[in-house]
Amino acid sequence: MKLIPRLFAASCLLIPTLVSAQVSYERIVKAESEPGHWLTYSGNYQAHRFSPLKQITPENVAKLKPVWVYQISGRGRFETSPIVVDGVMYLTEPPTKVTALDLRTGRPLWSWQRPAARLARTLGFGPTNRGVAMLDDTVYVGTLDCYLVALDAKSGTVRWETKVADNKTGHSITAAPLAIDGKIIVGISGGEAGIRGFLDAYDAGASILSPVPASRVMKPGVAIVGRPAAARPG
Amino acid sequence: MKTIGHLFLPLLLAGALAVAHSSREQDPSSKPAAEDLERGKRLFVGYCALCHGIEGTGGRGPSLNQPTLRHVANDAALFQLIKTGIEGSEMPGFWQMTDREIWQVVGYLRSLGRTAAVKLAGDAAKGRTVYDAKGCAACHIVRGQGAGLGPDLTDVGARRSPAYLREAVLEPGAAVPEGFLIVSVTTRDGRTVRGLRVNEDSFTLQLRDAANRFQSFRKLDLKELKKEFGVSTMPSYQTLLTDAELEDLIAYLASLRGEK
Repeated sequence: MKLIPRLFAASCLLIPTLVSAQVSYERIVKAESEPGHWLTYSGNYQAHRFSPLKQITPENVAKLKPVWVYQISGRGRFETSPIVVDGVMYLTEPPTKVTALDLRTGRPLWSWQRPAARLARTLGFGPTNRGVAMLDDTVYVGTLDCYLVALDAKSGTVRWETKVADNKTGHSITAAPLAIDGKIIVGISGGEAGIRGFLDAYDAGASILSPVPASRVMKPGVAIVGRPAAARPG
Repeated sequence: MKTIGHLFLPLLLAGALAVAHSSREQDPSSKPAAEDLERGKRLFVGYCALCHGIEGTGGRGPSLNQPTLRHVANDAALFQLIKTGIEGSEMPGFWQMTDREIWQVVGYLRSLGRTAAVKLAGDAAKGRTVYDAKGCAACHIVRGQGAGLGPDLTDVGARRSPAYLREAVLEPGAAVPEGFLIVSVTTRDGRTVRGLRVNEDSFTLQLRDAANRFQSFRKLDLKELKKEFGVSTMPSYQTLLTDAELEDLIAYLASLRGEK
């Protein structure tokens, strides 16, 4: 018996090489080639939100039956767009909780929540979150108290977190981040509180301990982040 | 109506006084009587010591014999924490205790805070070198770095006692945390998969296999399901560390308290 765990542990040491980048940038660029997955918030970088899958048709849509049901734990607006990758569904629950579900059964694999998000103030919109972004083996979420948090996709452990803006000044994040090549773009909520919006792009993982904005544009009406936008396909 | 109002007011006042009297009885800042401390100790031994150790020295749960506690700023917060637990952690809420009993436990816990902390023999800085050299990061995450197959160790020093950490390093099977049970399933078509149980209900099972992939099974499709209690995927470091390396490693792990 003693040998088995050692063998298993030894095989664990190989993990970093065995597990390739789960959702690479290239994979998101070609998202339309794998319609069984939903790799980014709007389905692909063109943001058509269209699925070419043909299993559900106008003829059979009335006869659909639930396969599983997952009950969210918090109260608030449930506005998430789930990301679906390799048998796992990643979604957010209000106010700021990320849950990974087994796609086959709806059973939770892990969940992570940010207690501080409960204390976050919002003006003109309720406690909600629209979803996560995924790049390689990391899940990214913006929090109601205005942080960007990176989570290990397999365990939900925090990889890093960084303050995007101050919630006390009316800033908040409800939008799903957008993952592009090596960068994570986040937008800001809080126009009702009179804040000036902006987009930030963060290094997705290279500076894992102290991510810094790749650039910040704070001119009214300008929603462009130089290089990342240029790198965006389409 | 006026008469009723006049009658009602004294009743309200009497009620308010009764409430004030009852909260004064449970005033957390008042010095607990000897019998309350004794009762608090007995409750602590019955409900809390399994994880937090007799006299709060820690174990599976953090040590509580210190003047300040991680999750609570004051006695009222400690009272509330005991009553409701910590969501998302292994600390349950103790709803079965009365408020008075919880205050007695709070009083006892505060008396433990005057106990001197145990000084560890090892050097935490050297322990970090041992951690890196022995490849612990191949399975564990500390402050975001490493692989997430084993438990996150970012705040393990705040959650586990040094004695528990020592046992976990030397004899990992004796201290397998929740969520890390090894299961082995054989499907009806003859496929065998071994991994860490992530979730299980009456009808389904989800695990993470050796390649850290999630796999989902319906029990109806399984020929065999084996659970390896008391076995850890982590190897024992009994023979892989010198005594000094072990002491340094424990000191390093104990120093990981989740601060940024």
